[in-house]
Amino acid sequence: MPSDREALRQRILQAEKDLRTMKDDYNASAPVNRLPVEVLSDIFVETALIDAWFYNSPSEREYFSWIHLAHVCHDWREVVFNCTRLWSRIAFFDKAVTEFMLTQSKDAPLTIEYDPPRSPDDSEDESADSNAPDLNYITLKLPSQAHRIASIKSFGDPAYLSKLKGPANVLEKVELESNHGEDLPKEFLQKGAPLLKHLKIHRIAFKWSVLPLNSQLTTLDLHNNLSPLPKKRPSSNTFLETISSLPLLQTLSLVDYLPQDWTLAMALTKRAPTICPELRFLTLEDSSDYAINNFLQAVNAPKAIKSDIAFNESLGEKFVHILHGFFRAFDKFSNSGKKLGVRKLSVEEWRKDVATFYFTFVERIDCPSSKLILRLRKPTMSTCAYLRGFRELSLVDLSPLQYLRICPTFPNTYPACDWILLFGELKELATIYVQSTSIQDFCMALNNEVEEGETRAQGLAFPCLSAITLDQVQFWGHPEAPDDVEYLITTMAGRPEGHRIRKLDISECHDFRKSDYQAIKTRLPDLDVTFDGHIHINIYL
Amino acid sequence: MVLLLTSDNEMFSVAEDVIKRSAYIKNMLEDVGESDLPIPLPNVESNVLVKILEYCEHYRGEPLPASDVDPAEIGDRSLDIADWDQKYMAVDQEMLFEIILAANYLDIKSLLDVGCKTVAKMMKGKSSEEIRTLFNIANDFTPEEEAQIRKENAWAECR
Repeated sequence: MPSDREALRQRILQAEKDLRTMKDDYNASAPVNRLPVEVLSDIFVETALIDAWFYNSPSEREYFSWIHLAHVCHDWREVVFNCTRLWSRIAFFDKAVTEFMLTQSKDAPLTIEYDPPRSPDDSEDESADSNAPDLNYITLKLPSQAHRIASIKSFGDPAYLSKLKGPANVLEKVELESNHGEDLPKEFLQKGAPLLKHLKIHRIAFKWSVLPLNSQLTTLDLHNNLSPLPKKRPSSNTFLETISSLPLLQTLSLVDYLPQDWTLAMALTKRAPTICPELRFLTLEDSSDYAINNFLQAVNAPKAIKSDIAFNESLGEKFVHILHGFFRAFDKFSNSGKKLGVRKLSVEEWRKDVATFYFTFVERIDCPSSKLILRLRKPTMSTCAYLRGFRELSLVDLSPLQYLRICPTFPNTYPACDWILLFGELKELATIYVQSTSIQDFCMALNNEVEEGETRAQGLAFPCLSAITLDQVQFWGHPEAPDDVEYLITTMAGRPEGHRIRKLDISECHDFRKSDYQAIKTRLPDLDVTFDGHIHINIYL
Repeated sequence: MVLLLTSDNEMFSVAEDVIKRSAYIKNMLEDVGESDLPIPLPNVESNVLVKILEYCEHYRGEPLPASDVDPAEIGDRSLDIADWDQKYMAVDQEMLFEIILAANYLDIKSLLDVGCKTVAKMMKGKSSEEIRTLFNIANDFTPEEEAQIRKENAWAECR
């Protein structure tokens, strides 16, 4: 090689070396690259989680799109390939990638999210990738990794888990769902999962005895609301033994899995309540008569802070008795029989499908304020009628109520007489949020009028009320009487000094105009009034 | 009050319950006990500490974990960033990474989490080339690495 050509070659090599050095220096000075490797790894794991959430299925190539982080620069590539947490969330769109991830994740605990094909035909779908691992591969591969699987999440027939017997010594989370009520293989985890903390099984049939329960469990979430399978329910004895063997249980969610063989008398007389010392979140829904009440009688959870209970009103005439028993049992369940006053109440109707009562109780000395969400599916009455019933039977104590939200569904309303009867005399009620109902009835109540123009003899209604929100409320005009805006103004202006409303929020109301807002501002100068500017004028022909 | 001395020799006097959000400071106070001597923060400049204290002040008195939220309901929400945190993190890149570095050094886990999520969201949906542009990074791969990258890209791309 001529010497001048060799010299050029040397210069090229030197230039390439210099360029690499300059690029290294340039990249090292980038603010992002000042982050330590462990922080950069955390960022990459967050990025992969976003991808996993966005693309959802590990069977899609996009689930693996975080790999482009390894294509940014040399340093990032090293971080990506050394971050075993990235590789341990296994993808299933290509067998080669699955195998590569299993190797690259080294000994890191694995996250498995796999949705088995619904039928053998599905796996032959033309859109499916021919390289994707088939069900047989998954069925055989998982058991070899049982020792390091930390989490399993699956939607579909769980039959492929039959060979995953364990022991699964680092498994902490299992979430299995289906829509077809297939059987959970009885072999699943039968050799144990001693660290299992979170078990969720929805719409999959199983015998209670095959559940991989252990004393570390903090979440038990079992739903059977697709096709009730009464024979799969545990007996009351088995159920209570299970509950008492889970001292760390914090979240219990049961839909159609409560025992049916106990009677109220049995729960009341033959057993001391089973204590769930750490239970904080309870969700119960059951089609079986009295099942929920019996549970609440038989179990005590002194730390319960949120209970979400759903009844099906189709129980008909029995329902009044069930509801009556429910409140007594609930007091016993959460507070050893003492009735707690309600600090906040929100009442919603969703069409004719469900009536929901959100109760927030007064604070307890040893516990933050607890919440009860009571859902009545297919209600036969309006929420107003239920509240009247609650009052007649003294089921709830509203005397400490400070915040009230009422949201009925048309054509249900809250007549003025009910506003007054239910809430008019409450001494601490400071805030009312009225949504989607008649402003006129509310104003009449505020004016202490039971019928139009008829004022009750007793004193002021809503004596401590200081703030009102009107949301999606209909304002009407009346040809031969003051319209609703005028009525609201005169009602509020008529309240005695010291009992005036201080704050009024108006949002998304119907037939409420800017001029109405100006009129309120002008004639009630001390009122702090806000209006979202939303103008929705209904045209009636 | 706790005295903090930044790398540029500025002294800050901070309420103990504010700065105890930093596990590093909290542990130091527990180990050393009450002292009039300032705690040196050689890795944190004053303009960054001002920002860190803004965060700690905002969350003063609030418990770190959301104890009244059912863990079963959290799920994907753990990827969310609160509105206030988003506004707090709306700073230039230089400051963003300084905040993350300081949160890491001071062991303020919640702030570090928010920082990591913020950067992760900045990268969401971007190609490697776009990420290079975003963070001023040069492509420094060797030809051999480029070949491997093409193979990996084929894995991740729809066919």
